[in-house]
Amino acid sequence: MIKLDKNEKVLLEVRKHWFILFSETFFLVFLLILPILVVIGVKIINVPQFIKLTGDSSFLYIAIIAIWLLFIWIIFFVIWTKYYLDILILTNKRIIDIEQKGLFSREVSTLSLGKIQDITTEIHGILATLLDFGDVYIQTAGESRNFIAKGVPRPAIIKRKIRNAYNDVMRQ
Amino acid sequence: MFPSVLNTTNASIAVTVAPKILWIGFGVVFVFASVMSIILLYHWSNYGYKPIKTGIIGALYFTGVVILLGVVFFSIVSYLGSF
Repeated sequence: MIKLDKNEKVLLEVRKHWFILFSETFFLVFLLILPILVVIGVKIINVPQFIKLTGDSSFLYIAIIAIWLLFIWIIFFVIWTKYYLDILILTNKRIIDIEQKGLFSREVSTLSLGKIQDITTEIHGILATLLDFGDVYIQTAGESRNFIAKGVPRPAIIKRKIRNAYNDVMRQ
Repeated sequence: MFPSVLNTTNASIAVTVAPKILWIGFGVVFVFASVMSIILLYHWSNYGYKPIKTGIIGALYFTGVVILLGVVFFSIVSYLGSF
């Protein structure tokens, strides 16, 4: 859990655009219909049945399909967890960048708003332009590492909000 | 001298899947699902920014897992009862 300081307020939470989650999980749709394709393929090719299962084999097929769906279900939630925990939080004092690279790989970086030097946004591609998502680069003063928020929705608005928060800090 | 086409369609072998194999298979799937659930639950409870949202997602996830494991379990029971 992220612990905020006293008088620290969250101004903005940014996750990747929904299209990024959609594109990362799209292959699951193919996996979902794969058993149907296999059944259709077997019927079209008319594979001779060398092995016949005794008993009502339809129950076994149901079990196999349920296991297959269970794997897809778990994979989806692993991808969603990675998406959900990968977040950039803007508070009135700092920026917290949490990069969830995998289930067992996580990076948390914090940057004081006063250290921001420059913010750049980049939008590349037709879909990114139409759906309004792109990258936000936050350059910092000194040896601090730069922050990059990739595939975030409405980068221009995020830039404006960070800039406003920065101005508020500098005024105080 | 030799037949050019082998008639294999009528030469099928009847196989009975041993209950032990089915239950071992179910056990492997159950352990895998349990381990993955513990890992996901750990992430949601420790790293989740908003517990309410991860709570809803967690409930949805576990509902799906329980239903699918239940389908597997009852399918195996039904298959074994169909002899």
